[in-house]
Amino acid sequence: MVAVFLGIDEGTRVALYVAPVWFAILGISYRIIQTRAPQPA
Amino acid sequence: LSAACHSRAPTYARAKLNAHFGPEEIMSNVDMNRLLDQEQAHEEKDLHRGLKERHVQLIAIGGAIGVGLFLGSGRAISRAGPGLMLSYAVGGLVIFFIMRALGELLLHRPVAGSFATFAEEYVGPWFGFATGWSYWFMWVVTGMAEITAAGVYFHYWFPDLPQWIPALGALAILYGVNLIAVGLFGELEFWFALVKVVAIVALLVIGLVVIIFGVSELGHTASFSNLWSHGGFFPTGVLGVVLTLQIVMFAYQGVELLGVTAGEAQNPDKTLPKATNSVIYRILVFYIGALLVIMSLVPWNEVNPGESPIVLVFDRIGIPYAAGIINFVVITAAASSCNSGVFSTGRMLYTLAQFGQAPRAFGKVNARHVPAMGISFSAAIMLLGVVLNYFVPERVFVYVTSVALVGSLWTWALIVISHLGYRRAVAAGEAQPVAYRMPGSPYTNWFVVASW
Repeated sequence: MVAVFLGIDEGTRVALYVAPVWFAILGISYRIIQTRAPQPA
Repeated sequence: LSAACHSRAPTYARAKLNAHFGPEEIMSNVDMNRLLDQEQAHEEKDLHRGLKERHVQLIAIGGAIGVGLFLGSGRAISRAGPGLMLSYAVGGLVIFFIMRALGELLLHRPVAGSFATFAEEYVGPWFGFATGWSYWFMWVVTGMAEITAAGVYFHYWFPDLPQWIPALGALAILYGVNLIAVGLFGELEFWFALVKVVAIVALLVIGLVVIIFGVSELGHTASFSNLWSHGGFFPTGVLGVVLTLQIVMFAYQGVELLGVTAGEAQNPDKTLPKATNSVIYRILVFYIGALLVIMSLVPWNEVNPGESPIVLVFDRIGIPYAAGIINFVVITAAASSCNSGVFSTGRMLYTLAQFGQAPRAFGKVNARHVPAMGISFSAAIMLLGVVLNYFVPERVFVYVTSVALVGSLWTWALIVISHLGYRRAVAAGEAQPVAYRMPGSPYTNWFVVASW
């Protein structure tokens, strides 16, 4: 609900654009870390 | 069970145990709880339990009262009128459930990584990673905005002083304090929170005296009937109240900081339940009580959205230097937020490094048992806020803090989802139950998630 209201206010709407980008960056970073970490057999 | 535990095991613990036993051994003998118990024992040696009960209590209060109440409430009052109190009450109920869930998890495992560790343990490694970094990002961004705010508020007394000088000075002092010892952070936070509490208590006491005894010029018009005699309790309708929810949640940002103190709090079994349990009373007294007094003293439609309503009522009561006093309180609130930011980002990087999800250097502590590298890196990023003061317009910070709210919403959601996982683990006999329990779970967990 709060996430929907973030879209109504112009100042807070940007959060809805940036959030997917942020989580995409996290997803890619996590992938990289996983491939570099020692893998158990 | 071992397969399930293996898939949930933290990367760092897996890597460390690989080195000691080899992967075959891990698959057959080690379970998730044992790995995390080892991590907890490692943290007990690294960090120092230097936060006293009074520190933790005031950090809990300070986290619940931010700059938003002193400055931002004017905008919210003009949008919703007295109905704003309902918005704060609903938001406060959600925060209460989050804090109770956090309290239960903290008693199970009082570690500095707090919700990042719980997300790792009960939701999945990616969620632990995303929660830790999102929380770090949220505080770094908030820290940037708050040191900028401190620079702006200093203009009130020193209009010719360049904005970046007080911003840099504030960050340098807070960075130094956080590097010395966790007890010093707690001490500073204690006094910052006390200033905020004294300001709100003064508003409540003076305001109630004016309303009840009719003293001062404002006493002739001040009345509780101001709450419903200017267009009703919901003058802008239910929608007006609903639309303030995001402003309200902004104001509650930082309340979960208590969780990060768990790894360094003395007697966490006693201190943490007491501090989390009292959040609801603090919200009732400090937010709803303050709004009730403000809108009884001055009708809601006389509050200017761009002005602090507290300055307005103090001015009208006739308190000298009202604006200067509130300016001082707001500077301490901004400094408190920045102080919390430096503290929590250092701890979050420390935990992420323990799990192999951040560079290992961040997982080291200095001779004073402080995660110095994590603190230094975070402070260096916050320093960008000082640089940005030169190059970007003020509006950018509104955008940036909006993005920070997403980090908070994510963290809060992961706390209640992790709590669901913990309860499932307790039911399956994989985790120890604690006496301090979240009421109404699992329904209250879903209520919180649905409200996002």
